[in-house]
Amino acid sequence: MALLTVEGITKRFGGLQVLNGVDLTVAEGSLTGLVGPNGSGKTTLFNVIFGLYRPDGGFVRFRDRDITGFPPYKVYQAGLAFAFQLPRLFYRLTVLDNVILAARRQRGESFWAALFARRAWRREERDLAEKAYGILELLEMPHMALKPAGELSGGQRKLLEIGRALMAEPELLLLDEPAAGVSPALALKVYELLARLREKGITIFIIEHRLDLLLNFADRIYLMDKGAIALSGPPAAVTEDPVFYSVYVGEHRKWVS
Amino acid sequence: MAADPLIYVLDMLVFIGIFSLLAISLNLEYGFTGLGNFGKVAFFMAGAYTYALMIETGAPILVSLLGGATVAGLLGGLVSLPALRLREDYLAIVTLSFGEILRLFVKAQEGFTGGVHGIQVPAAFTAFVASPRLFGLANVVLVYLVAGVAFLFVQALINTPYGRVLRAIREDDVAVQVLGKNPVLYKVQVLVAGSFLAGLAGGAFAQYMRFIDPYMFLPLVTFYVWIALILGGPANNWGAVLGALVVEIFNRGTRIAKDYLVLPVDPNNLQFIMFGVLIILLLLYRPQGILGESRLRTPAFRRWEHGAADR
Amino acid sequence: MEIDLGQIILNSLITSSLYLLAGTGLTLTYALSHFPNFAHAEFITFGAYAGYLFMDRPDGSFPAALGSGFVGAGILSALSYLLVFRPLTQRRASLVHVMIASIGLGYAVRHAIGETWTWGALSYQVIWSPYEIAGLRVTALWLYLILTAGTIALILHFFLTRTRLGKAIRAIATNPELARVTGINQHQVTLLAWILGASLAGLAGVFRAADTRLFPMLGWDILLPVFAVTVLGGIGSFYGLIAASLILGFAENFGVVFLTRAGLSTEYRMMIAFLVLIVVLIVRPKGLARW
Repeated sequence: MALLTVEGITKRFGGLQVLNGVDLTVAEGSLTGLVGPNGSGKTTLFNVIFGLYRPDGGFVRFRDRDITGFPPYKVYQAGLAFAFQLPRLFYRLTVLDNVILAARRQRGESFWAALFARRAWRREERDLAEKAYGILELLEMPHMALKPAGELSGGQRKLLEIGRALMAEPELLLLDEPAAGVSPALALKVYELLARLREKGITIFIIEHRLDLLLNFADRIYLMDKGAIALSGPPAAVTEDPVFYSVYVGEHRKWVS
Repeated sequence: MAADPLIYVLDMLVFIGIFSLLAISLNLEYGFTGLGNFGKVAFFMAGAYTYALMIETGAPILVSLLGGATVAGLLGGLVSLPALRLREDYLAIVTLSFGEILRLFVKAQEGFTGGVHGIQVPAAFTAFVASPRLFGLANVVLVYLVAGVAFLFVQALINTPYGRVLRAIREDDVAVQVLGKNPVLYKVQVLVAGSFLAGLAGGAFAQYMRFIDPYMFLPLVTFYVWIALILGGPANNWGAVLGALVVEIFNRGTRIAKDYLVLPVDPNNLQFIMFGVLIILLLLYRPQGILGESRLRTPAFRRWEHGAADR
Repeated sequence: MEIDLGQIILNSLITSSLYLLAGTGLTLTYALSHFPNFAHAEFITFGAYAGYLFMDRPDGSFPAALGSGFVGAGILSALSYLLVFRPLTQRRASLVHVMIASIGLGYAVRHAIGETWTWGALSYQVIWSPYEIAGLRVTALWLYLILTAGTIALILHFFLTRTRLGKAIRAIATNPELARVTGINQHQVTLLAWILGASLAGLAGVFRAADTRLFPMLGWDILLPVFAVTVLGGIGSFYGLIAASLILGFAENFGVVFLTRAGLSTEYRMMIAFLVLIVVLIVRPKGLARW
């Protein structure tokens, strides 16, 4: 069943047509990849899906709900989560707080409940803290829990960005290049995390340049070029298609495994 | 100025209390949520004038105070709706302009608010008016009661998941959206609450001064509150109080110097010159103020702080 | 009360000219340094007081006063930039912090001026007697003001479009990264823009003091209207500023006529500028020029 449907999305920035009618679907329970050369519009598409930009035309549907043009907080509430390529953490807050913030529907986050329903949210806080700590242990950084997020290394920050997604327990997780700029060992760890997420039933939609990783984990790949989908299908089929190589002109030799 | 030192001290305490309340209100808006409100005096003024008008109609003191605070809060809500989506510098200019517009409006209204002549505020503590010392003391009690409640309120609000969202908004109000929180809602709430508190301070001020006019509500007041907050430490309620204390004492100090010392420089001017230089130096070398930011103490934090040994 | 259209138009041009001279510096520094400088008011004021050096006697030379104001304000601005604003931006101070620093600087300078001269109002000693030309009441001062503003507008037009420095300023205002890459020394150009802009503001101060009185709040009194024209014209746009100055100048002066007719206090005149400011910021923050 298609969890996410994107239909005819267009987006223009000044003189540049960045998205040129994008159509794709993400099947429930899958790990779907979005690849393509730099400048093909992948990140812009994700930003549009998550409401950071409004599309000029087209639709985004989540299950059977039209979420086109929803502001990001509404998209989140509909059941999605987003991990940025360059982590957007809250650097002066503690690592623990950064994770807890990602949890859904916290009672204590409302003005009146925070002041008057103290018992209720205190209990919830404790449970969330346990869960958050568990996630930090998984990410191998429990010792950093009470330190400001600004003290994390680059690799740890990337992991934390994904850890927040775990906390958010979305139905669909969008990840923009989770393995970018990290060591191969860490990249593998990231993907193992993603596999865990899949086991929990979270659908994953991922922009990735590291095709070697994606080829082992993805169910389906979309190839984007100049703002539109050029190719789609299971990884093996896509990588053997001549269109794939012509889009990545000059780069194909790297990816032959 | 009274020659009675006790009255002088009481007077100073009242002003420190009122300033603390204003600084706490700004702390909620700027220190914790990152909202650069440059129009604090407008809400202070709204509270003061509303209190004055209500007490004239015979309303009891508490009702008038709350009435002033409510009007100020509503005004804050009104201003926030268009203003909060603006980026920081525009927000500053808009709030500053709003403060001036309100002041000019009040100044121009002859009948309703007394215009340039101001209004007399009937004393609520009629029993104490006869004795200046008791009057002073009664006001100190009132002001610190109100300020104390405000302090506890903001402290209570801050160390909660709500407070955590506020601080997150301060860091990055787009990332907060991606995690499902709507920053506009929080910002409006904070501005309403902050304006409410400023209105309370205004009512207490009107009550104590027994007379208000538009010249008491210049942008200077907003500036004083900002200095107090930055000096004491933004995002720290104790810092807000400390800052208010220091600013008021400094204020007084220069006024005393005028009467008792012969300086080559007019202390009034010197005070402002020093304040200006001080704030610049603070912002250059210690922008976190004397006390620095307070830690976010939610149950989660406390749990791990104590339970760290179990891990 | 009949409307003396000619007189109102003249008054509008006077107001517009003042705003143009005062606003150029603000729009430039706002665009190049990315913050609204609330101490800009003091560049205006200090220029006026510097001009007083030549205006404290009836036979003083007005051109000398203008020159003095021009130079004095420029020096103050250079010091402000080098001692306060540049260090702050180098320390990556937040926008709110820099704005507060500018407010603090403003208070310090204002009171230093009050201390050095007097807090009370002084007067330029040179008298400008009104003439009657074509049924309009004019003074030579007003004509000089309009002439100066017009000339400056032309000079700046050529400066911004034909000279290297002018083009560098425009480049940095629109695209700082690109400008840096093309080898423009951002620090130097910004400093020069601060000086130039303040010098023009100093001229505005001299004119305003000559037309009204000399007092420490001279600049602050018109700061928010000057902000209004800066924002309305589009921050960093000189041509937008020209248009906005004209618009606001006419709006204020015609507005005063309507206010008096409607029996409302002319205190509301100030509100015209403020309302313009607030509405523009909320509805169309990029202003007329849309840079």
